[in-house]
Amino acid sequence: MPDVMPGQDFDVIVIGGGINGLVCAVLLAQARKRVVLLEAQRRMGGMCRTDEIAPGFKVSTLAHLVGPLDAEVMKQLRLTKTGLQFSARQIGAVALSPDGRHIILGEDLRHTAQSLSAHEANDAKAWAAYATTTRRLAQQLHAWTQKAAWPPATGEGARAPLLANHWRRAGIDQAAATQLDLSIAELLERTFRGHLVKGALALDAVMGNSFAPTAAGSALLPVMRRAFEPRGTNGIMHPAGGAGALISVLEKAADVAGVRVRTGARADQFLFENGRIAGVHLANGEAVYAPHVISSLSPVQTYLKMGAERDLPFGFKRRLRGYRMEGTVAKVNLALAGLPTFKALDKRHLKERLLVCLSLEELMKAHAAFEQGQIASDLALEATLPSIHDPGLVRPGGHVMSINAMYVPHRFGAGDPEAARKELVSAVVSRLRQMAPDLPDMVVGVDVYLPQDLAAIGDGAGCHWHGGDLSSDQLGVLRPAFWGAAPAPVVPGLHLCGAGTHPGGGVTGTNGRLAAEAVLRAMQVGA
Amino acid sequence: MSDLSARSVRRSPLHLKTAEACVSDKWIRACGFTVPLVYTNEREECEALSARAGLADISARHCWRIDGPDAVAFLGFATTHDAALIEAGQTTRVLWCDDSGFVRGEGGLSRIGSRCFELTSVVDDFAWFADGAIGFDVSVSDWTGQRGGLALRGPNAEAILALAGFGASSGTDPVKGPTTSDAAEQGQILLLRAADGVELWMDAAGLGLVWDRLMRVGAGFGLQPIGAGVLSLDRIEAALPQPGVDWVPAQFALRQADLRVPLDLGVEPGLMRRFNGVEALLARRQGCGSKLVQLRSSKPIPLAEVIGKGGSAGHVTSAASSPATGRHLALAWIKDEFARPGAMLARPATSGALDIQIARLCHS
Repeated sequence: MPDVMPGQDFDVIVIGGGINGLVCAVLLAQARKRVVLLEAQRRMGGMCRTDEIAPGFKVSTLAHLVGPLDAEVMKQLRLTKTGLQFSARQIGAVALSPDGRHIILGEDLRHTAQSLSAHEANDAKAWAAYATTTRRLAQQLHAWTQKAAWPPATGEGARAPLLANHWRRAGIDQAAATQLDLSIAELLERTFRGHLVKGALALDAVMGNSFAPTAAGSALLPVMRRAFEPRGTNGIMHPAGGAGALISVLEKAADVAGVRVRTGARADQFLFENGRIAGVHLANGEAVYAPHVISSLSPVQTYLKMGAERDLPFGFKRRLRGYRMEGTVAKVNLALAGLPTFKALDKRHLKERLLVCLSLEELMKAHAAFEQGQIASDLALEATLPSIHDPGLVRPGGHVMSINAMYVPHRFGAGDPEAARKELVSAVVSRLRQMAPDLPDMVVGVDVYLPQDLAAIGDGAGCHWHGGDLSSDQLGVLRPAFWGAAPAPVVPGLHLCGAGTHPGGGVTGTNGRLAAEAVLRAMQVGA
Repeated sequence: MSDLSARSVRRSPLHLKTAEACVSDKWIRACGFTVPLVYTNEREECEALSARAGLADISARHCWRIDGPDAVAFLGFATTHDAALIEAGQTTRVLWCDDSGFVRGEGGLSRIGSRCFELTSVVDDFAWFADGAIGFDVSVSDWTGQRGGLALRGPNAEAILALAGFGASSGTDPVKGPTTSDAAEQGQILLLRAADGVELWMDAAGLGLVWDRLMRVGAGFGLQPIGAGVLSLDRIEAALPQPGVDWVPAQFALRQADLRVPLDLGVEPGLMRRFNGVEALLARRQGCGSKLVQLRSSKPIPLAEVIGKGGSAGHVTSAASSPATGRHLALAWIKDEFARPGAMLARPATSGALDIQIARLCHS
């Protein structure tokens, strides 16, 4: 017998218990709204989870790093006071080289310059200019990432909501705006001469996206990532206990704030009354009512697959149909019997993100294979060894390695997933052996997620690392799709809070905060 | 800008017939099709149209079929017209708007069954309708090139039509617009009556036979094929603006000033009804500040700015001179303060100003 609850049970329903859904729910509950959070899975977390992949080996199985966390969220949710600890902060990157001439890409300009000069003397100077410009632009874009994106109500900008309008309003000069329009490949070719630095920085920029490093506008990505926290105070971090620990803390915050959390509650249809949202229908037949529904599911799932599609403006619907959100990243987690030996790499640098991409050409080849539905023999990788700074994750002497592999097509392994997983692991291990020859012998456990596996964990509509490509046509007011100049939801009462909204993906909590602020404003004006 | 279609050039379903008649071998591209610009010469065709009868191939239009249980609801939301009010066999002019309330296109919407409609337009916007159908239980299919149309115009048109056995009984309803006789009775030929003549729409396969039949029957009435050039003149004489010529569909507009709301094109949709873009129209509630008018003059009117008292009054979008009647006509966007029938405007020229008079408002 379905448990149908008539009337308005809650002020707000939040769908999805990932970081953004949780942040949004807690902020609304703190504002004295009656909030219910519906999570389809049996546990919370979405893409943030810590699992045991082999006896005595725990790791962040999906998203392996967090941040920069939204400062306002940290403050309002008192995250550090409720037990959130980080085993590493300001995590930088190392461009791994098979010959041991690794490049350290961190906050310390001098250190980076030294490692760069081992490849190309001129690149050391170029790095200083590159890093300074990136920081300056990030500072200018910071405000843009921290508030809801709306175009001007009138004038050309209202009709042509291009990022250029944002840059103009953000006070970014023409020369800098021109740089943001470039492809990351072109920017790096103009700036550096060494192949390794260009390959690693290009990989770092496009990681998770389906476009090639030659895509126009991709030079924005490193700036945008930095813009969340221009000063890099905390930067990219690793929660002690893995990404799942962050979710545990948020769950506690939700409990304290009075959020009613329901797991195993899959929302499958929206309910409407007089053209506005009235609640959601659950897969178990139950109905939950509230005048505001906030979805952290993908925009496509939310708007086109749950009953709202009929009332959508055609232009909005068309944009959503073209929204690019197919996954490009596969996740491989390795349980290791010991610490692999990376030639000539100081152990203190093993806490950084280890980037494996030897040149721009290599990354382009990987993308070309991706376009044909295949994986390249030389996969581009971003790996972390969290057990270096968080030994509690593993049994004594052991280590875990968490690896994002690019570019892996969404349909890779559609016919035989198990064979595809084996092929992927083999390709990843073989690639890592070039950098750490003893690594294959240390593998005692493997955990693999193809893009299609990530889709199954999410809402099924997509499995994009960032909730949709971070391309210039899917950012700002265009994320997920342009809807007029008024800050009103396209379907009255229905809001988004996931990574498919401005300012894009990453474990930051900003999307959830912005959604909570928008809903509180809507409640004030009775929208 | 007159052809809003893709770059492909296709032959009209009537190409073999029209090519045979097109002794001038002058062609033009329309909606992705190549059609005769003039068959013999413009003067002859104009005279036939004004004194006897003319037959034109108007197949060069996009044609989409909307079929399914939600067809009425879908078209009611997609266009500014309530599709439920269209009776079977009836055709109505409809506009459709983007999310901001600006007009993307216009066309003739015919109801050919209880849940089946056909929309013909010179604006290529099939993808807009196809994508918009998500969430509705309808199929939107492209029938362009598979359907064809003939326009029969001139004083003898009705007589030819009756003698050929097509819908002599159908009448014109000035309120509802052009009407058709029963489509089934006419063997799936849609007979549409408009202010400027009669249109027959049918499957492309039957088009040649109907052309032959009308030409054979019409021979005694002086019926002559007329090309796109004279059709354009006829359009301007009837003060019928054309998308892509007299106004720019929103999806092609490069300037804010080129955007038009339905009111600018003579359509006042009921804003209490939900259709795409209505929220924006409710917020705006005003037009572009200009009206489409028909101009006349003693000399050819150039496609240029026209002047009123105190400065620029607007700009001419299409113009034609009739070799048969000697009339010089044009359509133009004229600012509201000048847009009155009878008002005098001018076009400065080195040989002296050209006097231009507003003959009428296009959508009055």
